[in-house]
Amino acid sequence: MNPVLAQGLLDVDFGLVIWVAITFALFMFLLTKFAWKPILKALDDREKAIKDSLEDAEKAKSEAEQISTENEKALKEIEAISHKIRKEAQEEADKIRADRLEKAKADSELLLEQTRIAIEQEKKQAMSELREEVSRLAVEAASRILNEEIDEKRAKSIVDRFIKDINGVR
Amino acid sequence: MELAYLAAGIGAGITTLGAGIGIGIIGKSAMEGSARQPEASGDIRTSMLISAAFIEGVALFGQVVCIVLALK
Amino acid sequence: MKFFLIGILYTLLLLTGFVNESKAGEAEENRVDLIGKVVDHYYLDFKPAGTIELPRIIYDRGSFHFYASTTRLINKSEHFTDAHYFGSTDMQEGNLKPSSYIIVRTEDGTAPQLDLSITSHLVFFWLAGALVFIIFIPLSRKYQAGTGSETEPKGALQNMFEVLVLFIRDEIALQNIGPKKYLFFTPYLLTVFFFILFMNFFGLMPWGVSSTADISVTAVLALFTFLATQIFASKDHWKHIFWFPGVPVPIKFMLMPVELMGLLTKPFALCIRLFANMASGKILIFSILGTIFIFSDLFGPGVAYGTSWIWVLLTLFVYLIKALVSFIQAYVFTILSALFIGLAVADHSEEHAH
Repeated sequence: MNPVLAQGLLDVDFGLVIWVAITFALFMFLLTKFAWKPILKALDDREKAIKDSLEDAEKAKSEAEQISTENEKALKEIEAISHKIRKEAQEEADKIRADRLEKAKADSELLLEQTRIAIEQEKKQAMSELREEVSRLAVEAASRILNEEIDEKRAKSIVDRFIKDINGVR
Repeated sequence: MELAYLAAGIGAGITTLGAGIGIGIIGKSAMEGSARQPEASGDIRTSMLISAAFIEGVALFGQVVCIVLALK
Repeated sequence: MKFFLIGILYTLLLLTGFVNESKAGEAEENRVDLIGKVVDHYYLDFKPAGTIELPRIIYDRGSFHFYASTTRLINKSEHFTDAHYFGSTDMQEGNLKPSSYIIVRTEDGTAPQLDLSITSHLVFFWLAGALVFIIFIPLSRKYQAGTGSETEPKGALQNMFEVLVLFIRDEIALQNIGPKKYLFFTPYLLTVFFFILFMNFFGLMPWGVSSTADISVTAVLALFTFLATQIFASKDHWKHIFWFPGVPVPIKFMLMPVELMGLLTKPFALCIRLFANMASGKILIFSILGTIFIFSDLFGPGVAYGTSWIWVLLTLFVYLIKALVSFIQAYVFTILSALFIGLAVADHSEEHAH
Protein backbone atom coordinates (compact mmCIF):
# COMPACT_ATOMS: atom_id res chain seq x y z
CA MET A 1 0.00 0.00 0.00
CA ASN A 2 1.23 3.42 -0.92
CA PRO A 3 2.08 5.39 2.24
CA VAL A 4 1.55 8.81 0.69
CA LEU A 5 -1.30 8.35 -1.73
CA ALA A 6 -3.26 6.11 0.61
CA GLN A 7 -6.66 7.42 -0.26
CA GLY A 8 -7.57 7.52 -3.91
CA LEU A 9 -7.26 10.87 -5.55
CA LEU A 10 -8.88 9.59 -8.70
CA ASP A 11 -11.65 7.54 -7.09
CA VAL A 12 -15.08 8.45 -8.33
CA ASP A 13 -17.68 8.45 -5.57
CA PHE A 14 -20.97 7.48 -7.20
CA GLY A 15 -23.04 8.76 -4.31
CA LEU A 16 -21.45 12.16 -4.70
CA VAL A 17 -21.91 12.04 -8.48
CA ILE A 18 -25.63 11.40 -8.07
CA TRP A 19 -26.02 14.15 -5.47
CA VAL A 20 -24.08 16.71 -7.51
CA ALA A 21 -25.86 15.84 -10.73
CA ILE A 22 -29.33 16.17 -9.19
CA THR A 23 -28.60 19.32 -7.23
CA PHE A 24 -26.73 20.95 -10.10
CA ALA A 25 -29.63 20.31 -12.46
CA LEU A 26 -32.03 21.71 -9.85
CA PHE A 27 -29.85 24.78 -9.20
CA MET A 28 -29.50 25.39 -12.90
CA PHE A 29 -33.24 25.17 -13.45
CA LEU A 30 -34.03 27.54 -10.56
CA LEU A 31 -31.28 29.99 -11.44
CA THR A 32 -32.30 30.04 -15.09
CA LYS A 33 -35.89 30.73 -14.16
CA PHE A 34 -35.39 33.25 -11.37
CA ALA A 35 -32.01 34.84 -12.05
CA TRP A 36 -30.55 34.48 -15.51
CA LYS A 37 -33.66 34.98 -17.62
CA PRO A 38 -34.73 38.23 -15.86
CA ILE A 39 -31.18 39.56 -15.78
CA LEU A 40 -30.52 38.78 -19.43
CA LYS A 41 -33.89 40.24 -20.39
CA ALA A 42 -33.20 43.42 -18.42
CA LEU A 43 -29.77 43.78 -20.01
CA ASP A 44 -31.26 43.20 -23.42
CA ASP A 45 -33.97 45.80 -22.78
CA ARG A 46 -31.42 48.32 -21.65
CA GLU A 47 -29.22 47.70 -24.65
CA LYS A 48 -32.20 48.04 -26.94
CA ALA A 49 -33.21 51.31 -25.27
CA ILE A 50 -29.68 52.65 -25.59
CA LYS A 51 -29.52 51.55 -29.20
CA ASP A 52 -32.89 53.17 -29.95
CA SER A 53 -31.97 56.45 -28.33
CA LEU A 54 -28.67 56.43 -30.16
CA GLU A 55 -30.46 55.85 -33.42
CA ASP A 56 -32.88 58.67 -32.61
CA ALA A 57 -30.02 61.00 -31.85
CA GLU A 58 -28.35 59.98 -35.09
CA LYS A 59 -31.54 60.66 -37.00
CA ALA A 60 -32.03 64.06 -35.37
CA LYS A 61 -28.44 64.91 -36.10
CA SER A 62 -28.75 63.96 -39.74
CA GLU A 63 -31.96 65.97 -40.01
CA ALA A 64 -30.31 69.01 -38.51
CA GLU A 65 -27.44 68.57 -40.87
CA GLN A 66 -29.80 68.37 -43.79
CA ILE A 67 -31.57 71.55 -42.74
CA SER A 68 -28.33 73.36 -42.33
CA THR A 69 -27.12 72.27 -45.75
CA GLU A 70 -30.41 73.40 -47.24
CA ASN A 71 -30.06 76.78 -45.60
CA GLU A 72 -26.59 77.11 -46.89
CA LYS A 73 -27.70 76.17 -50.36
CA ALA A 74 -30.50 78.78 -50.30
CA LEU A 75 -28.07 81.38 -49.06
CA LYS A 76 -25.72 80.58 -51.88
CA GLU A 77 -28.51 80.81 -54.44
CA ILE A 78 -29.60 84.18 -53.13
CA GLU A 79 -26.06 85.40 -53.25
CA ALA A 80 -25.69 84.24 -56.81
CA ILE A 81 -28.92 85.98 -57.83
CA SER A 82 -27.93 89.25 -56.20
CA HIS A 83 -24.57 89.03 -57.84
CA LYS A 84 -26.21 88.52 -61.19
CA ILE A 85 -28.56 91.45 -60.69
CA ARG A 86 -25.72 93.70 -59.69
CA LYS A 87 -23.77 92.66 -62.69
CA GLU A 88 -26.67 93.32 -65.02
CA ALA A 89 -27.28 96.75 -63.52
CA GLN A 90 -23.63 97.55 -63.90
CA GLU A 91 -23.68 96.47 -67.49
CA GLU A 92 -26.77 98.51 -68.23
CA ALA A 93 -25.30 101.54 -66.60
CA ASP A 94 -22.14 101.09 -68.58
CA LYS A 95 -24.14 100.79 -71.77
CA ILE A 96 -26.17 103.87 -71.05
CA ARG A 97 -23.10 105.84 -70.26
CA ALA A 98 -21.40 104.68 -73.41
CA ASP A 99 -24.48 105.56 -75.47
CA ARG A 100 -24.63 108.99 -73.97
CA LEU A 101 -20.99 109.56 -74.59
CA GLU A 102 -21.35 108.40 -78.15
CA LYS A 103 -24.29 110.68 -78.73
CA ALA A 104 -22.59 113.67 -77.19
CA LYS A 105 -19.54 113.00 -79.27
CA ALA A 106 -21.63 112.79 -82.44
CA ASP A 107 -23.48 115.94 -81.53
CA SER A 108 -20.35 117.89 -80.95
CA GLU A 109 -18.86 116.55 -84.18
CA LEU A 110 -21.95 117.62 -86.08
CA LEU A 111 -21.80 121.05 -84.52
CA LEU A 112 -18.14 121.29 -85.34
CA GLU A 113 -18.80 120.28 -88.96
CA GLN A 114 -21.57 122.80 -89.33
CA THR A 115 -19.38 125.48 -87.86
CA ARG A 116 -16.56 124.53 -90.13
CA ILE A 117 -18.84 124.65 -93.18
CA ALA A 118 -20.18 128.01 -92.14
CA ILE A 119 -16.66 129.27 -91.64
CA GLU A 120 -15.67 127.88 -95.02
CA GLN A 121 -18.61 129.56 -96.70
CA GLU A 122 -17.87 132.76 -94.90
CA LYS A 123 -14.32 132.43 -96.00
CA LYS A 124 -15.29 131.72 -99.58
CA GLN A 125 -17.65 134.58 -99.60
CA ALA A 126 -15.10 136.81 -98.05
CA MET A 127 -12.54 135.63 -100.59
CA SER A 128 -14.82 136.21 -103.57
CA GLU A 129 -15.78 139.57 -102.18
CA LEU A 130 -12.16 140.35 -101.61
CA ARG A 131 -11.30 139.21 -105.12
CA GLU A 132 -14.02 141.33 -106.63
CA GLU A 133 -12.99 144.17 -104.48
CA VAL A 134 -9.38 143.68 -105.48
CA SER A 135 -10.25 143.39 -109.20
CA ARG A 136 -12.46 146.41 -109.00
CA LEU A 137 -9.79 148.31 -107.16
CA ALA A 138 -7.20 147.15 -109.67
CA VAL A 139 -9.39 148.06 -112.59
CA GLU A 140 -10.10 151.36 -111.02
CA ALA A 141 -6.47 151.90 -110.34
CA ALA A 142 -5.49 150.80 -113.80
CA SER A 143 -8.16 152.91 -115.44
CA ARG A 144 -6.98 155.82 -113.48
CA ILE A 145 -3.46 155.05 -114.56
CA LEU A 146 -4.26 154.28 -118.14
CA ASN A 147 -7.40 156.40 -118.26
CA GLU A 148 -9.32 155.95 -121.46
CA GLU A 149 -6.73 153.73 -123.09
CA ILE A 150 -8.30 150.58 -122.07
CA ASP A 151 -11.91 150.05 -121.87
CA GLU A 152 -13.34 148.77 -118.79
CA LYS A 153 -14.21 145.39 -120.22
CA ARG A 154 -10.80 144.51 -121.39
CA ALA A 155 -9.15 145.76 -118.28
CA LYS A 156 -11.38 143.55 -116.19
CA SER A 157 -10.32 140.46 -118.11
CA ILE A 158 -6.69 141.37 -117.55
CA VAL A 159 -7.21 141.76 -113.83
CA ASP A 160 -9.10 138.50 -113.68
CA ARG A 161 -6.21 136.76 -115.36
CA PHE A 162 -3.87 138.40 -112.98
CA ILE A 163 -5.85 137.26 -109.96
CA LYS A 164 -6.02 133.79 -111.40
CA ASP A 165 -2.29 133.83 -111.70
CA ILE A 166 -2.02 134.90 -108.14
CA ASN A 167 -4.35 132.06 -107.21
CA GLY A 168 -2.34 129.69 -109.28
CA VAL A 169 0.89 130.75 -107.68
CA ARG A 170 -0.48 130.58 -104.27
CA MET B 1 6.86 -1.19 -6.76
CA GLU B 2 9.59 1.38 -6.31
CA LEU B 3 10.11 1.51 -10.06
CA ALA B 4 6.52 2.67 -10.43
CA TYR B 5 7.32 5.75 -8.36
CA LEU B 6 10.39 6.39 -10.47
CA ALA B 7 8.33 6.04 -13.64
CA ALA B 8 5.68 8.35 -12.23
CA GLY B 9 8.26 10.99 -11.38
CA ILE B 10 10.04 10.80 -14.72
CA GLY B 11 6.76 10.70 -16.61
CA ALA B 12 5.45 13.75 -14.79
CA GLY B 13 8.67 15.57 -15.60
CA ILE B 14 8.47 14.73 -19.28
CA THR B 15 4.81 15.70 -19.62
CA THR B 16 5.63 18.95 -17.85
CA LEU B 17 8.45 19.52 -20.31
CA GLY B 18 6.22 18.92 -23.32
CA ALA B 19 3.42 21.11 -22.06
CA GLY B 20 5.88 23.82 -21.11
CA ILE B 21 7.41 23.87 -24.58
CA GLY B 22 4.01 23.83 -26.25
CA ILE B 23 2.50 26.60 -24.15
CA GLY B 24 5.71 28.59 -24.51
CA ILE B 25 5.47 28.43 -28.30
CA ILE B 26 1.82 29.49 -28.14
CA GLY B 27 2.67 32.41 -25.89
CA LYS B 28 5.51 33.47 -28.17
CA SER B 29 3.36 33.36 -31.29
CA ALA B 30 0.50 35.16 -29.57
CA MET B 31 2.80 37.92 -28.42
CA GLU B 32 4.28 38.30 -31.88
CA GLY B 33 0.82 38.31 -33.36
CA SER B 34 -0.54 40.96 -31.05
CA ALA B 35 2.58 43.07 -31.44
CA ARG B 36 2.10 43.07 -35.20
CA GLN B 37 -1.63 43.60 -35.02
CA PRO B 38 -2.56 45.23 -31.72
CA GLU B 39 -6.18 45.63 -32.83
CA ALA B 40 -6.60 41.83 -33.02
CA SER B 41 -5.08 41.18 -29.59
CA GLY B 42 -8.46 40.29 -28.06
CA ASP B 43 -9.11 37.49 -30.56
CA ILE B 44 -5.52 36.34 -30.29
CA ARG B 45 -5.77 36.13 -26.50
CA THR B 46 -8.93 34.03 -26.69
CA SER B 47 -7.51 31.58 -29.21
CA MET B 48 -4.26 31.50 -27.26
CA LEU B 49 -6.11 30.45 -24.12
CA ILE B 50 -8.09 27.85 -26.02
CA SER B 51 -5.07 26.23 -27.65
CA ALA B 52 -3.15 26.39 -24.37
CA ALA B 53 -6.08 24.62 -22.75
CA PHE B 54 -5.93 21.88 -25.38
CA ILE B 55 -2.23 21.33 -24.83
CA GLU B 56 -2.87 21.36 -21.12
CA GLY B 57 -5.49 18.67 -21.64
CA VAL B 58 -3.05 16.38 -23.43
CA ALA B 59 -0.43 16.94 -20.75
CA LEU B 60 -3.01 16.26 -18.05
CA PHE B 61 -3.66 12.85 -19.53
CA GLY B 62 0.03 12.16 -19.01
CA GLN B 63 -0.20 13.44 -15.45
CA VAL B 64 -3.17 11.19 -14.78
CA VAL B 65 -1.23 8.19 -16.02
CA CYS B 66 1.58 9.17 -13.65
CA ILE B 67 -0.81 9.49 -10.72
CA VAL B 68 -2.24 6.08 -11.55
CA LEU B 69 1.30 4.69 -11.58
CA ALA B 70 2.02 6.26 -8.22
CA LEU B 71 -1.22 4.88 -6.83
CA LYS B 72 -0.38 1.37 -7.96
CA MET C 1 3.39 26.70 -14.90
CA LYS C 2 1.15 24.20 -13.17
CA PHE C 3 3.04 21.30 -14.66
CA PHE C 4 6.31 22.59 -13.51
CA LEU C 5 4.82 22.79 -10.04
CA ILE C 6 3.34 19.32 -10.30
CA GLY C 7 6.79 18.13 -11.31
CA ILE C 8 8.24 19.59 -8.14
CA LEU C 9 5.45 17.94 -6.23
CA TYR C 10 6.38 14.50 -7.48
CA THR C 11 9.98 15.06 -6.57
CA LEU C 12 8.88 16.08 -3.11
CA LEU C 13 6.64 13.06 -2.81
CA LEU C 14 9.55 10.81 -3.68
CA LEU C 15 11.73 12.67 -1.23
CA THR C 16 9.20 12.25 1.58
CA GLY C 17 9.03 8.57 0.75
CA PHE C 18 12.77 8.10 1.16
CA VAL C 19 12.96 10.23 4.26
CA ASN C 20 10.13 8.38 5.86
CA GLU C 21 11.74 5.06 5.11
CA SER C 22 15.04 6.00 6.66
CA LYS C 23 13.47 7.35 9.83
CA ALA C 24 10.30 5.34 9.73
CA GLY C 25 10.12 4.82 13.44
CA GLU C 26 9.96 8.37 14.71
CA ALA C 27 8.27 9.96 11.68
CA GLU C 28 5.29 7.65 11.82
CA GLU C 29 3.19 9.57 14.34
CA ASN C 30 4.14 13.01 12.97
CA ARG C 31 3.14 12.24 9.43
CA VAL C 32 0.57 14.53 7.81
CA ASP C 33 -1.63 12.84 5.27
CA LEU C 34 -1.06 15.13 2.31
CA ILE C 35 -3.59 13.64 -0.07
CA GLY C 36 -6.02 13.40 2.83
CA LYS C 37 -6.15 17.21 2.77
CA VAL C 38 -7.50 17.15 -0.76
CA VAL C 39 -9.82 14.16 -0.90
CA ASP C 40 -13.41 14.03 0.23
CA HIS C 41 -14.42 13.54 3.87
CA TYR C 42 -17.54 12.62 5.76
CA TYR C 43 -16.93 15.50 8.18
CA LEU C 44 -16.17 19.22 8.02
CA ASP C 45 -12.74 19.95 9.38
CA PHE C 46 -12.45 23.01 11.63
CA LYS C 47 -9.17 22.21 13.31
CA PRO C 48 -8.24 23.06 15.97
CA ALA C 49 -11.83 23.80 16.97
CA GLY C 50 -12.88 20.28 16.05
CA THR C 51 -14.84 18.52 13.35
CA ILE C 52 -18.49 18.34 12.44
CA GLU C 53 -19.64 14.97 11.23
CA LEU C 54 -22.03 14.96 8.34
CA PRO C 55 -25.15 12.82 7.95
CA ARG C 56 -24.81 9.40 6.39
CA ILE C 57 -27.40 8.18 3.93
CA ILE C 58 -26.98 4.64 2.75
CA TYR C 59 -29.08 2.74 0.28
CA ASP C 60 -28.86 -0.99 0.68
CA ARG C 61 -31.13 -3.88 -0.26
CA GLY C 62 -34.12 -1.80 -1.25
CA SER C 63 -34.24 0.62 1.68
CA PHE C 64 -32.63 3.90 2.69
CA HIS C 65 -30.89 4.25 6.05
CA PHE C 66 -30.44 7.71 7.54
CA TYR C 67 -28.02 8.54 10.33
CA ALA C 68 -27.22 11.99 11.73
CA SER C 69 -23.48 11.25 11.82
CA THR C 70 -20.97 8.48 11.32
CA THR C 71 -20.57 8.09 15.09
CA ARG C 72 -24.29 7.56 15.45
CA LEU C 73 -24.24 5.05 12.62
CA ILE C 74 -21.50 2.97 14.19
CA ASN C 75 -23.07 2.99 17.62
CA LYS C 76 -26.76 2.63 16.73
CA SER C 77 -26.92 0.69 13.50
CA GLU C 78 -27.25 -3.06 13.49
CA HIS C 79 -26.77 -3.20 9.69
CA PHE C 80 -23.52 -1.31 9.22
CA THR C 81 -20.26 -0.63 10.96
CA ASP C 82 -16.90 1.03 10.34
CA ALA C 83 -14.61 -1.14 8.26
CA HIS C 84 -11.99 -0.76 10.97
CA TYR C 85 -14.20 -2.36 13.60
CA PHE C 86 -15.47 -5.16 11.44
CA GLY C 87 -14.76 -8.52 12.96
CA SER C 88 -13.46 -7.21 16.28
CA THR C 89 -15.51 -8.71 19.05
CA ASP C 90 -14.58 -6.63 22.09
CA MET C 91 -16.44 -3.48 21.07
CA GLN C 92 -17.84 -1.33 23.85
CA GLU C 93 -21.34 -0.47 22.78
CA GLY C 94 -22.27 3.20 22.75
CA ASN C 95 -19.02 5.18 22.53
CA LEU C 96 -17.13 4.06 19.47
CA LYS C 97 -15.33 6.71 17.44
CA PRO C 98 -15.34 6.48 13.65
CA SER C 99 -11.96 5.38 12.39
CA SER C 100 -11.82 4.79 8.64
CA TYR C 101 -15.26 6.26 7.83
CA ILE C 102 -15.68 3.43 5.34
CA ILE C 103 -19.01 1.75 6.00
CA VAL C 104 -19.43 -2.01 5.62
CA ARG C 105 -22.25 -4.43 6.36
CA THR C 106 -22.10 -5.91 9.83
CA GLU C 107 -22.85 -9.44 8.69
CA ASP C 108 -20.22 -10.02 5.97
CA GLY C 109 -17.95 -6.96 5.82
CA THR C 110 -18.87 -6.03 2.23
CA ALA C 111 -19.70 -2.51 1.05
CA PRO C 112 -23.33 -1.43 0.87
CA GLN C 113 -24.93 -0.96 -2.53
CA LEU C 114 -24.86 2.82 -2.64
CA ASP C 115 -23.42 5.35 -0.26
CA LEU C 116 -25.36 8.57 -0.69
CA SER C 117 -23.81 10.25 2.34
CA ILE C 118 -23.35 13.98 2.52
CA THR C 119 -19.65 14.76 2.14
CA SER C 120 -17.57 17.85 2.70
CA HIS C 121 -17.25 18.47 -1.03
CA LEU C 122 -21.00 18.21 -1.43
CA VAL C 123 -21.52 20.69 1.41
CA PHE C 124 -19.19 23.19 -0.24
CA PHE C 125 -20.83 22.54 -3.59
CA TRP C 126 -24.15 23.46 -2.01
CA LEU C 127 -22.55 26.47 -0.34
CA ALA C 128 -21.33 27.68 -3.72
CA GLY C 129 -24.84 27.18 -5.09
CA ALA C 130 -26.33 29.03 -2.14
CA LEU C 131 -23.89 31.89 -2.72
CA VAL C 132 -24.95 32.12 -6.35
CA PHE C 133 -28.57 32.26 -5.20
CA ILE C 134 -27.86 34.84 -2.51
CA ILE C 135 -26.09 37.08 -5.01
CA PHE C 136 -28.19 36.69 -8.12
CA ILE C 137 -31.78 36.35 -6.90
CA PRO C 138 -31.77 39.82 -5.25
CA LEU C 139 -29.88 41.11 -8.26
CA SER C 140 -32.56 39.86 -10.63
CA ARG C 141 -35.22 41.46 -8.38
CA LYS C 142 -33.27 44.68 -8.67
CA TYR C 143 -33.18 44.37 -12.45
CA GLN C 144 -36.90 43.63 -12.58
CA ALA C 145 -37.57 46.67 -10.39
CA GLY C 146 -35.91 48.81 -13.05
CA THR C 147 -32.43 49.47 -11.70
CA GLY C 148 -30.12 48.41 -14.46
CA SER C 149 -32.80 47.76 -17.05
CA GLU C 150 -33.98 51.36 -17.38
CA THR C 151 -31.22 53.17 -15.55
CA GLU C 152 -27.53 52.49 -15.11
CA PRO C 153 -26.52 49.69 -12.70
CA LYS C 154 -26.04 50.92 -9.15
CA GLY C 155 -23.67 49.67 -6.49
CA ALA C 156 -20.42 47.72 -6.59
CA LEU C 157 -22.09 44.31 -6.50
CA GLN C 158 -24.37 44.92 -9.44
CA ASN C 159 -21.61 46.54 -11.49
CA MET C 160 -19.14 43.79 -10.78
CA PHE C 161 -21.45 40.90 -11.60
CA GLU C 162 -22.98 42.66 -14.58
CA VAL C 163 -19.52 42.88 -16.12
CA LEU C 164 -19.06 39.14 -15.63
CA VAL C 165 -22.52 38.29 -16.96
CA LEU C 166 -22.01 40.49 -20.01
CA PHE C 167 -18.55 39.04 -20.55
CA ILE C 168 -19.93 35.50 -20.54
CA ARG C 169 -22.82 36.43 -22.79
CA ASP C 170 -20.87 38.46 -25.34
CA GLU C 171 -17.31 37.16 -25.27
CA ILE C 172 -17.93 33.50 -24.50
CA ALA C 173 -21.44 32.52 -25.64
CA LEU C 174 -21.86 34.83 -28.62
CA GLN C 175 -18.30 34.39 -29.87
CA ASN C 176 -18.30 30.60 -29.73
CA ILE C 177 -21.89 29.53 -30.28
CA GLY C 178 -23.02 32.11 -32.78
CA PRO C 179 -25.79 34.72 -32.86
CA LYS C 180 -28.63 32.24 -33.50
CA LYS C 181 -28.49 29.92 -30.52
CA TYR C 182 -26.27 31.61 -27.96
CA LEU C 183 -29.09 32.92 -25.76
CA PHE C 184 -30.35 29.37 -25.21
CA PHE C 185 -27.02 28.22 -23.76
CA THR C 186 -26.07 31.39 -21.88
CA PRO C 187 -27.91 30.38 -18.65
CA TYR C 188 -26.03 27.08 -18.56
CA LEU C 189 -22.69 28.79 -19.12
CA LEU C 190 -23.46 31.40 -16.45
CA THR C 191 -24.41 28.69 -13.96
CA VAL C 192 -21.29 26.67 -14.67
CA PHE C 193 -19.02 29.71 -14.50
CA PHE C 194 -20.27 31.05 -11.19
CA PHE C 195 -20.47 27.60 -9.58
CA ILE C 196 -16.89 26.78 -10.51
CA LEU C 197 -15.68 30.24 -9.56
CA PHE C 198 -17.24 30.12 -6.11
CA MET C 199 -16.20 26.51 -5.52
CA ASN C 200 -12.62 27.44 -6.43
CA PHE C 201 -12.70 30.45 -4.13
CA PHE C 202 -13.98 28.36 -1.22
CA GLY C 203 -10.76 26.39 -1.52
CA LEU C 204 -8.79 29.56 -0.80
CA MET C 205 -10.59 30.26 2.47
CA PRO C 206 -9.48 28.98 5.84
CA TRP C 207 -11.08 25.56 6.57
CA GLY C 208 -12.61 25.79 3.12
CA VAL C 209 -12.55 22.93 0.66
CA SER C 210 -12.65 23.44 -3.07
CA SER C 211 -15.15 20.97 -4.43
CA THR C 212 -13.62 21.28 -7.88
CA ALA C 213 -10.58 19.43 -6.53
CA ASP C 214 -12.80 16.34 -6.56
CA ILE C 215 -12.94 14.36 -9.78
CA SER C 216 -16.56 13.34 -9.13
CA VAL C 217 -17.73 16.96 -9.12
CA THR C 218 -15.78 17.94 -12.23
CA ALA C 219 -16.95 14.75 -13.93
CA VAL C 220 -20.56 15.79 -13.38
CA LEU C 221 -19.89 19.27 -14.76
CA ALA C 222 -18.15 17.81 -17.80
CA LEU C 223 -21.03 15.36 -18.18
CA PHE C 224 -23.48 18.25 -18.35
CA THR C 225 -21.45 19.87 -21.12
CA PHE C 226 -21.25 16.53 -22.90
CA LEU C 227 -25.02 16.09 -22.65
CA ALA C 228 -25.58 19.64 -23.88
CA THR C 229 -23.41 18.99 -26.93
CA GLN C 230 -25.07 15.66 -27.70
CA ILE C 231 -28.71 16.55 -27.05
CA PHE C 232 -28.67 19.81 -29.01
CA ALA C 233 -26.25 18.66 -31.68
CA SER C 234 -27.10 19.47 -35.27
CA LYS C 235 -27.44 16.86 -38.02
CA ASP C 236 -24.04 17.90 -39.35
CA HIS C 237 -22.44 16.99 -36.04
CA TRP C 238 -23.59 13.37 -36.32
CA LYS C 239 -22.79 13.32 -39.99
CA HIS C 240 -19.23 14.39 -39.27
CA ILE C 241 -18.88 11.62 -36.70
CA PHE C 242 -20.37 8.64 -38.53
CA TRP C 243 -20.06 9.55 -42.21
CA PHE C 244 -17.45 12.23 -42.68
CA PRO C 245 -18.38 14.25 -45.77
CA GLY C 246 -15.98 14.91 -48.61
CA VAL C 247 -13.58 11.99 -48.20
CA PRO C 248 -13.42 8.55 -49.90
CA VAL C 249 -15.45 5.71 -48.39
CA PRO C 250 -12.56 3.73 -46.78
CA ILE C 251 -11.38 6.88 -45.02
CA LYS C 252 -14.92 7.42 -43.74
CA PHE C 253 -14.65 4.10 -41.88
CA MET C 254 -11.23 5.01 -40.56
CA LEU C 255 -12.39 8.40 -39.33
CA MET C 256 -15.37 7.00 -37.43
CA PRO C 257 -13.48 5.65 -34.37
CA VAL C 258 -11.23 8.71 -34.34
CA GLU C 259 -14.24 11.02 -34.24
CA LEU C 260 -15.93 8.88 -31.60
CA MET C 261 -12.84 9.05 -29.44
CA GLY C 262 -12.68 12.80 -29.94
CA LEU C 263 -16.26 12.97 -28.74
CA LEU C 264 -15.32 11.36 -25.45
CA THR C 265 -11.90 12.92 -24.87
CA LYS C 266 -13.32 16.44 -24.95
CA PRO C 267 -15.41 16.14 -21.75
CA PHE C 268 -12.76 13.90 -20.21
CA ALA C 269 -10.14 16.59 -20.72
CA LEU C 270 -12.54 19.19 -19.31
CA CYS C 271 -13.04 17.07 -16.20
CA ILE C 272 -9.38 16.22 -15.64
CA ARG C 273 -8.14 19.75 -16.36
CA LEU C 274 -10.29 21.42 -13.74
CA PHE C 275 -9.69 18.68 -11.18
CA ALA C 276 -5.91 18.57 -11.68
CA ASN C 277 -5.48 22.31 -11.58
CA MET C 278 -7.45 22.73 -8.39
CA ALA C 279 -6.11 19.65 -6.61
CA SER C 280 -2.47 20.34 -7.49
CA GLY C 281 -2.64 23.86 -6.03
CA LYS C 282 -3.60 22.60 -2.62
CA ILE C 283 -1.15 19.69 -2.66
CA LEU C 284 1.52 22.13 -3.72
CA ILE C 285 0.94 24.46 -0.77
CA PHE C 286 1.13 21.56 1.67
CA SER C 287 4.22 20.18 -0.07
CA ILE C 288 6.06 23.48 0.09
CA LEU C 289 5.20 23.96 3.74
CA GLY C 290 6.16 20.31 4.29
CA THR C 291 9.63 21.09 3.00
CA ILE C 292 10.31 22.89 6.30
CA PHE C 293 9.73 19.63 8.19
CA ILE C 294 11.71 17.60 5.68
CA PHE C 295 14.62 20.01 6.21
CA SER C 296 14.17 19.61 9.92
CA ASP C 297 14.46 15.84 9.50
CA LEU C 298 17.41 16.04 7.12
CA PHE C 299 19.56 18.87 8.54
CA GLY C 300 18.18 19.57 11.99
CA PRO C 301 15.69 22.11 13.33
CA GLY C 302 18.10 25.06 13.07
CA VAL C 303 18.32 24.89 9.29
CA ALA C 304 14.58 24.39 9.09
CA TYR C 305 13.88 27.55 11.11
CA GLY C 306 16.48 29.50 9.13
CA THR C 307 15.08 28.62 5.75
CA SER C 308 11.41 28.58 6.65
CA TRP C 309 10.82 32.14 5.44
CA ILE C 310 11.66 31.01 1.86
CA TRP C 311 8.96 28.39 1.95
CA VAL C 312 6.42 30.68 3.56
CA LEU C 313 7.03 33.34 0.87
CA LEU C 314 6.82 30.68 -1.81
CA THR C 315 3.54 29.47 -0.31
CA LEU C 316 2.20 33.00 -0.45
CA PHE C 317 3.20 33.20 -4.09
CA VAL C 318 1.55 29.87 -4.86
CA TYR C 319 -1.56 31.05 -3.03
CA LEU C 320 -1.77 34.11 -5.26
CA ILE C 321 -1.26 31.91 -8.33
CA LYS C 322 -4.04 29.69 -7.01
CA ALA C 323 -6.35 32.69 -6.78
CA LEU C 324 -5.52 33.54 -10.38
CA VAL C 325 -5.90 29.92 -11.47
CA SER C 326 -9.32 29.76 -9.77
CA PHE C 327 -10.52 32.48 -12.07
CA ILE C 328 -8.74 31.23 -15.18
CA GLN C 329 -9.99 27.67 -14.76
CA ALA C 330 -13.58 28.82 -14.35
CA TYR C 331 -13.13 30.88 -17.52
CA VAL C 332 -11.42 28.06 -19.41
CA PHE C 333 -14.07 25.51 -18.45
CA THR C 334 -16.82 27.90 -19.56
CA ILE C 335 -15.18 28.94 -22.82
CA LEU C 336 -14.34 25.34 -23.75
CA SER C 337 -17.90 24.27 -22.94
CA ALA C 338 -19.15 27.07 -25.17
CA LEU C 339 -16.68 26.06 -27.87
CA PHE C 340 -17.74 22.39 -27.81
CA ILE C 341 -21.42 23.34 -27.79
CA GLY C 342 -20.78 25.79 -30.62
CA LEU C 343 -19.00 23.11 -32.67
CA ALA C 344 -21.81 20.63 -32.09
CA VAL C 345 -24.79 22.91 -32.80
CA ALA C 346 -23.20 24.75 -35.73
CA ASP C 347 -25.10 24.41 -38.97
CA HIS C 348 -22.51 23.89 -41.69
CA SER C 349 -25.02 23.81 -44.52
CA GLU C 350 -25.13 27.61 -44.74
CA GLU C 351 -21.38 27.87 -44.89
CA HIS C 352 -21.12 25.32 -47.67
CA ALA C 353 -23.85 26.97 -49.69
CA HIS C 354 -21.80 29.95 -50.80
